[in-house]
Amino acid sequence: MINGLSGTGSSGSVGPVGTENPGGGSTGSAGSTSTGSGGNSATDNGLDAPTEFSCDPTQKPAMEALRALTTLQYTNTLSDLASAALGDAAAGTALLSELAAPLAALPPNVPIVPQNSVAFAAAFPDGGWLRADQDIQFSRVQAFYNIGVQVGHALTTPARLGQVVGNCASDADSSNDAACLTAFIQSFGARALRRPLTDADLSFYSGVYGADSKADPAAYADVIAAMLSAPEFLYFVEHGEAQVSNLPGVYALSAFELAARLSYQVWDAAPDAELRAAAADGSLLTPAVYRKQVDRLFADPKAHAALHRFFADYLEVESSGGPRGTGGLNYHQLALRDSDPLFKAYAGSDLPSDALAQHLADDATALLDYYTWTAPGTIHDLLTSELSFAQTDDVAKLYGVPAWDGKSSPPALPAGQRPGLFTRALFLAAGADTAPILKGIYLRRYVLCDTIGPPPPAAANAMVPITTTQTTRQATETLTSVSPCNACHTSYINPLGFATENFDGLGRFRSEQTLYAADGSVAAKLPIDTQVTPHVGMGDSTTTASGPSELMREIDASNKPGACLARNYFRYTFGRFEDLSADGCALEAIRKTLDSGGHLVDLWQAVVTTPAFKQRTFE
Amino acid sequence: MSYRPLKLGRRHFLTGLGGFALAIPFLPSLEKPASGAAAAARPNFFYLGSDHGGCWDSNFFPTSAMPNSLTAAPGHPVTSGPLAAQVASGRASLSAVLNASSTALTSALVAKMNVLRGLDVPWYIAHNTGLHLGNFARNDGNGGDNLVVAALGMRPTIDQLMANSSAFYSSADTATTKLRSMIMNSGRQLSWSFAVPAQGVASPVQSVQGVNSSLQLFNSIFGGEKPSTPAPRPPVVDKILANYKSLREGNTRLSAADKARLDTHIAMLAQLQSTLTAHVSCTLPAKPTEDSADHHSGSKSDTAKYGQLWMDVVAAAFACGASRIGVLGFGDTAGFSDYAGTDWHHDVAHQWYSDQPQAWLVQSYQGLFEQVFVYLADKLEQLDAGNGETVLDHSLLVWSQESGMETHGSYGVPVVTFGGAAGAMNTGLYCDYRQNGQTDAELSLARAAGGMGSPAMSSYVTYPGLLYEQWLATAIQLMGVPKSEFELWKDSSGNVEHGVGTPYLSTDKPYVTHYGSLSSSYFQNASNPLPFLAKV
Repeated sequence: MINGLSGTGSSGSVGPVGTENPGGGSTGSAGSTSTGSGGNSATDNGLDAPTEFSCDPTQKPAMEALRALTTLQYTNTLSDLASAALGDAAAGTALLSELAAPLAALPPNVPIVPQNSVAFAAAFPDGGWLRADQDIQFSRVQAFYNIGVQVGHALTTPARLGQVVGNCASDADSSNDAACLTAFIQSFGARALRRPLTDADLSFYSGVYGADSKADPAAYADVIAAMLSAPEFLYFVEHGEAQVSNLPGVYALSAFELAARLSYQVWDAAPDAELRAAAADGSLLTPAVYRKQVDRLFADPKAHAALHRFFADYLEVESSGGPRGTGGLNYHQLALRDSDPLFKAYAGSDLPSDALAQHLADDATALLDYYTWTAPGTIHDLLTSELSFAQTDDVAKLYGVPAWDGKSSPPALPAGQRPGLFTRALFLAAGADTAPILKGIYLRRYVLCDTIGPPPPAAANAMVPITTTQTTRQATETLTSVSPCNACHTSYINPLGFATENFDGLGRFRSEQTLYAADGSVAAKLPIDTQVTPHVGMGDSTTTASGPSELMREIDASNKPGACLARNYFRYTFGRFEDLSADGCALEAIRKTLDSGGHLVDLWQAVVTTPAFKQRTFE
Repeated sequence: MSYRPLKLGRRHFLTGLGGFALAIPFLPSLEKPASGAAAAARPNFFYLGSDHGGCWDSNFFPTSAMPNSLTAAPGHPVTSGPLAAQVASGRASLSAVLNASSTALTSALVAKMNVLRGLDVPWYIAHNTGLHLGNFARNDGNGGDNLVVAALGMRPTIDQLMANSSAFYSSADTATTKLRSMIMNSGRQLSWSFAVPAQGVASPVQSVQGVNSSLQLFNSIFGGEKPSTPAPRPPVVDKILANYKSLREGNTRLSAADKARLDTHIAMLAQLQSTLTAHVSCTLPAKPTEDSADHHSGSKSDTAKYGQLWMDVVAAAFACGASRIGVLGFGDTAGFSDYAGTDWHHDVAHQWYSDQPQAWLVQSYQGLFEQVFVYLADKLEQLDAGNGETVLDHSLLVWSQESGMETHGSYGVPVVTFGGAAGAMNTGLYCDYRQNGQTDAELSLARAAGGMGSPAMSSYVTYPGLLYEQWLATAIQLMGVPKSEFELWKDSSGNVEHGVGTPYLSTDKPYVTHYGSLSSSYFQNASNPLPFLAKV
């Protein structure tokens, strides 16, 4: 019922024939190896992702379309606006609580993946980027309207009108009413519309109020409602200023437009007073002041919270179909933990609680947080770290280490066992069995950004069985060794997943696989085989890896993860999918921050200093 | 919810909550005829889509006699016969799936039902949310053909073509229409529309996101209805709309893409403006005390309640003319079965060819049929629309699935209907459109794979029939929307494409043997109503 499809089958979501557009996107030309560089050539069944990008400054990015705030950005903005209007930092949160009903009618954003597989992602959530969800829905427009009307009412109650508008709106003196209205429109409007109001704006909103400027709470409520449904409130309305030389149709953003982009990028919220001031005096357009503001925004805890949104996209923690997060644990019947003898025997003393899925996501996010903020690290740290960031007892127990307190030095994991982010339980947990196919697909798509084609008909009907005679690897090989499955599975999918088969379906380290009968009795114990030819470079059929440590080292050495991370971050930032040619300059500027041991935090910050971030293509 | 069926006499003017009198009669059939003739009934359309499929034909379809025969194409006879339920022990049964309590599935209701067999999307469409209503590009990309179809572009679905058609919603309807389409459950995106319907094919196609709460849907339709005290100020939506138009038409720099998005927002605001000024034309139903969003436990009773709460709102909206289109993407139907796990998708739906999963599938679809689909049909049948007709007579209720009898396969997608489509549709029929026995056209992926676990599947074959596109074209025309409003695309030779959906033909032998090519009569006739269904 409801969202019951759990997505990608265990038999794989990807198959032969490399027809997928690797760059993704409606822009069409993305992904050709001819536009990037450093990647290997296309094989019969896939395309190697580039390891760096070609920057041709004469190319301009695709025409941009009015971008909407995400639901999170919208609610943050609403809350901040109410707090400012009521002069109380806590007032915004309180107001959102009052408006719980109309806010609940605001549809959530839907994770979007590149156009060529958009259907797959939306129908069967398997990752994607929330900021790329830009469809204008009637239900959203209706909800925005209703919320705006409700906020208008809420801010103009007798108890609040004086605070929000001023005493001039509630005193008995009618001679100040017109000035009172003008002042309110200008002050509230400048915050709501994220720029000073023009005379035309003033005239328009005065018209909303009505011809009679006599203080009227209902009329003020209408003005507020109109502002909260205005294009400048709901969208990034950008007109640009000076044309960029040698790029016809590309214009530099105004100071207020840039302030808005920067603030929503780093905080998922509207510019604060200091940023608005820098926009108002124009200093934000100077490199020094802009750098100062970038540093200030990134130093604020709000940046940490906002970056978690990117981490959630990148880690696919909201996936319901992959081997991660709730998807992973739901995949093999978490709900059966109390009734399935096989799963109970398999889990032993680690029977998952309802909270485990969130704890696994928190563990992976903590690793990214640590190497971003606490001890700025590199892509190498991301892939090879042997520190544990598990802050809950259940996850720490899976790793065999004490829980981290989040402040002192993270405990070390057993040496050589669990290198880097992608051997954490979030990526391994699948229930009473492992999911090597799904592990392999994630690494291929999200970490390497390689392209492989769709599975053949009926592939999804085939399922890796839990047997009493074969390891998961053996059962997977049996299932996928036949044509046409073997074309992709044997080289490009399975090996990446087999290399971490020394972790079980709950993410625990193991040296052998215990096979259970349906009644939970032990049927056999078989040795684990993690030896693979991973084809990290898709044309490389000779390099082998003995297990996760060697695999992660090879992935690290391939230089693909940095370029892939840059592409993922580009999608998050711009809410669209990259064109490797036209967006090559921005992508390369982001990617190269990781060269020579550059830190991840440098990559997060680099995007806002690229020309692409400060400009807009109009034609 | 405590919805009160309305049994009203002709020309009965209603009294609303708080004693305020509504100036608009209950249903269009009650409107004063313009020239002594009965005014045309305004049809309602409801679609119930369920995940997967995978129900064996022998469990789904009736075994009625099929005395009627027509020729669909040279050498291709199609047959039909009257539906007749077997009644025993309080159950009325047409098949293992199509059975329900005989007090709900009465002979009168069976007489207003159709079962259609042999409707194909002629390639492997796999997982999708686009087969249901005609956006075939909305597929999972598996199997090769899907990527080709996806590359041909997305298309609006029939519910949205209706919602934006002046043939379906006339200008007079706007006075009572609170919501042009009720899209339920955002977890299943079955509905797709031109972003700016007035721009037609020049506009991109985008999803129409559903709501996840029946209570929210109810409130969006009936919540704004208040006793007729004069509003102190007009809705501010007019001013907001003017603001967007001012930006759109102003002389500030905007990209063409900016303007296109503003156009979309403006179209939505215009729809909102219409909604805010519309008033329902019936007694306001009592506000529901329960919400579908609170019924996700997965138990049988909860699953049924989940569906029924949606159906209550649909019935209320149809009865009041507040909305005449509803789409519920139900998702999977596990909650109606005895299956105790949580991986229905892999354990059951993907194992459709094995006996135990099949038994669960049958149980689940029977539950959906009785507890949701028949529940709605019965509810509408109890609503008097005047002239001896019921709201069900004015409606077309459709249930179909993501796949045919093979999960992921799109041949033989079963379609079940209730209602007479406001007099446009023949009912009480079981129609079989397959060309049985055709050499080299045997269809069964399970058979090709050696039966995949069940003796029953090892020997089973079926055959292609008529295009599912033709069914969609039939449905939309039964709702009064002319061909000119869905035949919007041309092929590479400049010829009009027929039917609803993307014309495409797999190179798989059974499909090619039967359908030939895109220029065959099957594709060329895809805009014509299916045999047996349309009243002349």
